[in-house]
Amino acid sequence: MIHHRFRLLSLCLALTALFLGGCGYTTPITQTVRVAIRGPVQDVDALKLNPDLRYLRVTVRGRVVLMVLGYVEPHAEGEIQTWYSSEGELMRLQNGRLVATAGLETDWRAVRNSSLPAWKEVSRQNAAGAATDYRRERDEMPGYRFGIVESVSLYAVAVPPNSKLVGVRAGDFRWFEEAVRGQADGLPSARYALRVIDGEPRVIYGEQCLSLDLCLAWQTWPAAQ
Amino acid sequence: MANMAGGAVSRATARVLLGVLACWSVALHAEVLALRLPAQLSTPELPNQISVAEVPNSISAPQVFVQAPAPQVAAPVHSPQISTNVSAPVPGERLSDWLLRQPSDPRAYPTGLLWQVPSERYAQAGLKRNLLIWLAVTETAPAAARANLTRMIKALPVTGRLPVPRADARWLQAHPKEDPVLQYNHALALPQLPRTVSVLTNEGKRCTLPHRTGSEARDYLRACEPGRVERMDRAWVVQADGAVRNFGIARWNAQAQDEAAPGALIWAPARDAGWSPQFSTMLAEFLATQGYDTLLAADAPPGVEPVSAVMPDSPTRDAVISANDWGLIGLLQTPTARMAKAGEARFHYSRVHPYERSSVLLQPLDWLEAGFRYTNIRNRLYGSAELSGNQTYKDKSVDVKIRLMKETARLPQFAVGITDVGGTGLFSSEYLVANKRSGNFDWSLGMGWGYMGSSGNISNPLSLLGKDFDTRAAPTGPSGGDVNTGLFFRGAAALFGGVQYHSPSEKWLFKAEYDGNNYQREPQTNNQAQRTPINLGIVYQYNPGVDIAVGFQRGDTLMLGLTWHTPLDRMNAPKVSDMPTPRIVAGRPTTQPVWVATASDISAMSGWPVRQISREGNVLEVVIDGASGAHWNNRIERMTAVLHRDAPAEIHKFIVIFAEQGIPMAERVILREPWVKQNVQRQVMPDRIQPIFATEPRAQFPTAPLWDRNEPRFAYSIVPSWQQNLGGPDGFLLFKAGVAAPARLKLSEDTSITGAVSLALLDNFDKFKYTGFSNLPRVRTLQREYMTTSPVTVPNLQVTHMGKLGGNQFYSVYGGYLESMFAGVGGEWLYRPWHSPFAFGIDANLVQQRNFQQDFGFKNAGSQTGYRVATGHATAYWDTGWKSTQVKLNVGRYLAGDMGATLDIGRSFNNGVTMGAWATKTNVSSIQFGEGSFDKGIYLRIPFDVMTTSRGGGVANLVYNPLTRDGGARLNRSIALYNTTISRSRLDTGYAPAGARAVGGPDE
Repeated sequence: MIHHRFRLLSLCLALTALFLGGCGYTTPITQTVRVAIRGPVQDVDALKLNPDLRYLRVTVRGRVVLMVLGYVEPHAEGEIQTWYSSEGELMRLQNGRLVATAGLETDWRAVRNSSLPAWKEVSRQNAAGAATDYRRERDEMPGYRFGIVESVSLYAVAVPPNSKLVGVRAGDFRWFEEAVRGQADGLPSARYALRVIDGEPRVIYGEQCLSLDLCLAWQTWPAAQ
Repeated sequence: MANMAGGAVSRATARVLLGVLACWSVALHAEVLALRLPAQLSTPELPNQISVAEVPNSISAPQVFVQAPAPQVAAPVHSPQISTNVSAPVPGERLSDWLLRQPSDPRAYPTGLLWQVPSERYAQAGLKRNLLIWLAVTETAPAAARANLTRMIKALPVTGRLPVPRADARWLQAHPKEDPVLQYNHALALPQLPRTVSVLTNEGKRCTLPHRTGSEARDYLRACEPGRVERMDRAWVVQADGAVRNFGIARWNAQAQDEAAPGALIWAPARDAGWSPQFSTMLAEFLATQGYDTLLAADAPPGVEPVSAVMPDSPTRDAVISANDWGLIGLLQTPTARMAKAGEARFHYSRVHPYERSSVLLQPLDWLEAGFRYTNIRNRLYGSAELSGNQTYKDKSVDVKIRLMKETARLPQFAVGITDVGGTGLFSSEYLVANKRSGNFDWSLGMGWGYMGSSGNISNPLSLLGKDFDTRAAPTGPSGGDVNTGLFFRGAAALFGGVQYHSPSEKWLFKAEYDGNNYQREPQTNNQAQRTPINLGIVYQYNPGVDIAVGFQRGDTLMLGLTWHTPLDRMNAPKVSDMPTPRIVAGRPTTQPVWVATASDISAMSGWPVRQISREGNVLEVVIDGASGAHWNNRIERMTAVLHRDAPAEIHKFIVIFAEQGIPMAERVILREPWVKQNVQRQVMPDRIQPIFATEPRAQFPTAPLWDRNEPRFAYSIVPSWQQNLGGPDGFLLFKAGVAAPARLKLSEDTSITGAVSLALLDNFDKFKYTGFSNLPRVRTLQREYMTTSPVTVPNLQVTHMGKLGGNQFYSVYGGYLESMFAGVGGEWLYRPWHSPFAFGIDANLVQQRNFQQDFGFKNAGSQTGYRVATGHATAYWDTGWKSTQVKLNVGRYLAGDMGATLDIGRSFNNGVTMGAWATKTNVSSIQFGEGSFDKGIYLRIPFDVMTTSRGGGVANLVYNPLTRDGGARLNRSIALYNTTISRSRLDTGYAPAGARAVGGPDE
């Protein structure tokens, strides 16, 4: 029933009010709408980083978060890095591979790999056209699923078109896929991107699904590192 | 039925739409946000106690201490067996430090960590004593089994073990609140990974089996007690980390459950074996205080060998429910006795020619399902073409279903329900239905009356009670709205029933049913062919909140259905837009604070305006003026973090004073040291005390403040506005969307002018032509005129003065444009003792009808021009204490001059969401009242705190009032003392975000 001309004027006024909103007029509702539209983070990749810290850029369900390296602990099979989120969730990586999480909705409490050669050996085997097979045992929470044994096959793949890698060219890396053979969980394969640094292949990017609906992708950050 | 008597106008306030939109958007988004990984690390920080790339303490050589060097331990700490690595803590070190000191051992089993605290032994000794007493005096269980259990329990020590849910040193370091500081008399043991799981049999003997991944309690029980497992309904699982859960394991009550981890113990008493659930829980809790090694080594009767190997079966699953075509939990056309969990809200749409049904169902209690529905009859017109064009017929109905009995091992679950109660009764039905589950199958059998029983495939058994039950009168006719109790369970009856099968693929449900309706007796002679009474359907659970249904009904008709359902009681939006809480450290500041910055940060943390900060000796006092929102304790915790960060070291107590309009209403006292301790280390007895508690407020504010707010006298905001008319003859949904600018001008501490200007931006009110008929003064039924006359309105502009009359009495006087249709003067008095479940108030008002423009005049109000009335109510408020249910009873004179009462009952959930209903009966007859017979409705209140990503105030008040009539209409006062004095309520200030552990406050 409102006259069309008036409606146009009103719309202009509303738009003005919204622009004013952009100038700092915020309420919980406007903030929520912003989060709903743009996501909770404005631009993680543009955040100013502390040069004293080492970062991991983690993508999870389409969102991007940064984690910070807390500890590097020696281990016979390769140092274990413990990465933290700001809320204290942690992720442990060993040779670029996920070996534990704590505080996520699904945690791999512990991962025990056996017969897993170093990446150099994996690269050599794959260059010879052979996949690397190893046995993985892991404990999953919640649910007290302890001692899940999986046979894993690791093999080189072409550059995938759908990785979450940013800031660098995926084609500059050597890619590997890690598939669990013949088990019921049906988790998507893990993937790794490797670059040779000082003669040693190092994982720059990794993907691992902890459950069917919780998949993580991580890369060292900033990308140039 | 929504017929010619006027459409339903929601009492939705200006914020309703946004509330709904935000609710939906946040609900959809919440799953994403709920990811535990934080959304933002704008200022990346390391957790407490962590230095970058720090190499851990060197791994020391294995140390074995049986007991800590504790000179004053009251009782010897139990010494675990040789497979366990035991070392003494260094007094004052953290558990995380102790864990890091342990030798690296791939066989270590942190899940089974034993942390034993002597001060916890007292409670555990009581538990042991109660178990032994129960075993000694209860004769229902077999004597031999009781003797065996007695022997075992006597042999087990009282350990003082406390569970450590996540024994990961690095995680504990980042969560100091979970990381205890160890004392000299604590004992710790890190066992090695056991390879077995044990079952405590019904004879009280132990049966130990190899752990098998993928196996649940029932799998182990089947191997140990194969002859008994079919008579076991529940299993108690004691995990190695001390967690105790119990699960339904029979085919009728099977639940999704945890596996039994290595070192778990399972207890599953057989049905009718004489072990009560209370005993089982006590037993499991006591066994959880033991290490697995201890249990294996205890002086117990000889164990029994497993009969077979453990064979993992498919994981058990929870029973799955879904909506039927009517939105109720059921099959297709028929309901079942199943219920959703309390707190669920469901929107359902289905289409089966010639009906389209849109239903909203709420589950306020585990045993009560209720809601309303609009049925669009696609081959019937609403009314004459002049009035409603080609709009098809809309029928409104209200449904109620009550669970009478829960399912047991032998008996089915029973429910009784009424469909289309209080409407025109086109589809009115009553039914009694029973359900019995057997694994993936859920069988139902029921008897229906009315529409649901129109096939009459069975004679009405109630006819035995009298001939009245033989026949069913026609529905009430065009006025509708009565609760037609005279029709209930009368006339033809029919059996109905069916089965639902939950497929192994998890997301699919298959349904088949026998329909008791006779489609040759459809209302409005809208008869439909029915080739068979068997209906078939499939439900695809697209995600946990959305179900899609397809069916084939009557042998020739397709059904499509869509259900959106959400647990409102678990609704929560992470506060990613708010500043993070300051990190809490044990140390205290050494410099004096800048109080203006402290006040600003308190406001940022709590969302509440700080009025002043003052100091009295070593107590710091903060006055908050106008606190709002749902989750008070959460805000108080956050503001305490700021106070602790800034307050001088000698301050040992904080007092937060909550005030309204300059009147102190309530206080929270925060003991600084216990609060800090609680936040920087895990607490054990006797230090586990409540550091925040509520007290009655003082009479006056503190004098000589350190900082005082210079409050602006004028404040405003801009919010979206929404008005709607649903189900009227001019169109199913008529709406007006726009913006409103509420504002306040403070004249003095206790007197303000408040109001709002509303601007309509988008509407389809050009279709809104129908004005409802009324026999009463048209105090509400001229809604069309009020909604359509002017795009710019002043729905409220009033001056209010508020004061206090002694300790528990409050008053207000006000005058102005009190609501969109009435202006006038009034006053209210409220008696509300602090933290009392009872309150009582009286309001009295003299008001006059406003003009349709809703500006400052009175002359253009149609037939109501110049209408004046004195209206007011005496109101009793009662917080029943039962399932957070609140009852409100208003008695008095309504706007049309009618006298009567309104009863309002609402149930609140822990996150502050409230579901409720009201009904008003006045001295106006049903005929005078018109369609609906009396005023009634249901409502849903959702605090913005559960929907928004930052903390704010306000509530989305979603109201369904089937018909807006003039009888039983109350003045919509914008300021009510009961709401203003909410800080005096124990219940309303005790809500917590869903999923959060309740903290502080008086209610924990």
